[in-house]
Amino acid sequence: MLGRLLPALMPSWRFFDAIGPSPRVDYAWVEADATPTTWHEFRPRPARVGVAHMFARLFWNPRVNETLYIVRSAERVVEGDTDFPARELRWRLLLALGRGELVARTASALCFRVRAVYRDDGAFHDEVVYVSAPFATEPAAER
Amino acid sequence: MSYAEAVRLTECLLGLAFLQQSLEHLAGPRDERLLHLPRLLLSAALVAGWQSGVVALLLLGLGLLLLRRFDGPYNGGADRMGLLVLSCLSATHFAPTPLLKEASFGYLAAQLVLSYFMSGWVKVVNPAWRRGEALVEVFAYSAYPVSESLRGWAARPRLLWAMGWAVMLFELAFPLALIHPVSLAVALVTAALFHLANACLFGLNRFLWAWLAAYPALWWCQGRLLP
Repeated sequence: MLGRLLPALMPSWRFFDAIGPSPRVDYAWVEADATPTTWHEFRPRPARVGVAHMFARLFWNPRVNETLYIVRSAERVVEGDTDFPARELRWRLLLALGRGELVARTASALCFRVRAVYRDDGAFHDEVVYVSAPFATEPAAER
Repeated sequence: MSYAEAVRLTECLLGLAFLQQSLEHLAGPRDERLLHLPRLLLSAALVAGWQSGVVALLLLGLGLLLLRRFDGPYNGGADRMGLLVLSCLSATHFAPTPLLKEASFGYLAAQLVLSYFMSGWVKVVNPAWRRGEALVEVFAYSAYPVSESLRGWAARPRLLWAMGWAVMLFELAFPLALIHPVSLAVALVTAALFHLANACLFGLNRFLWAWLAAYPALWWCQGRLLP
């Protein structure tokens, strides 16, 4: 566990050194073993955020901070780490379902995918890099 | 600012930063509440100045548990800066000699300077940043802008080129601010405004509070090295 503390004690401070592929997380309602057809973006950005709202978020910003954590988890999936981050994305989707954030249920299970959006030679690319297996959505026991 | 005053101010600012973070998690799932409720109480004790050394150590232990829960930091650099400040504060309480206590606090000041300088360095050696393309990409397709309307800034490459160079030059020049208290004050206010802009545009509010908590160490260190 102390190994996790070392990057804090001797940080590299390489903020935004390069702009890599940016992840997007989509989810779909799906029957087990079926192929999802309609994908919905998880946590799409609002069209506009007012100045007062921006100021208030200096002090109370749980949703955006959770979204940043989801983005980091998705970045790890894009980098090839599909163990803990994929489980965490699945858990965050179930939490969002419990909060009523997802579109109305049309099938018995959920699945999600991670897309990588990036620019190469001036052209934008949007590539699916991971698709989860369908998972049941019975209310999960709280961890 | 004396050493004791700077340490005390750091405790207050870090405690407030942790209070803000933990309050947000109390609205989250049960496992996060279980970790953040004691963190909230310990942060309040840190602000109050009650048993600061022991409280800092307990907060460090909770920080390690949070790193395990999230398989790393929940909020990237902001969490890392919080843990760095906390580790240095703990050392100021438990280091065996006054010189080592001051060295621990000085290490925090040095890391704060490095946080700006290194951020500037890794950008300026990247051609995409020098050409202004990096900020265009941040606004065009990165996950950071807090609203879709902000993506429109990607269509203003000259403005973003100027903003990018302003950020890089400020970060690279930050160590020079140490030559005088006035220049350091100007640099710290400018840096705080930079974090404020990042909080508004990209939702990075925790960075603002975490970095502010490290400022007293640098303010004290400047006076200690160049009295």
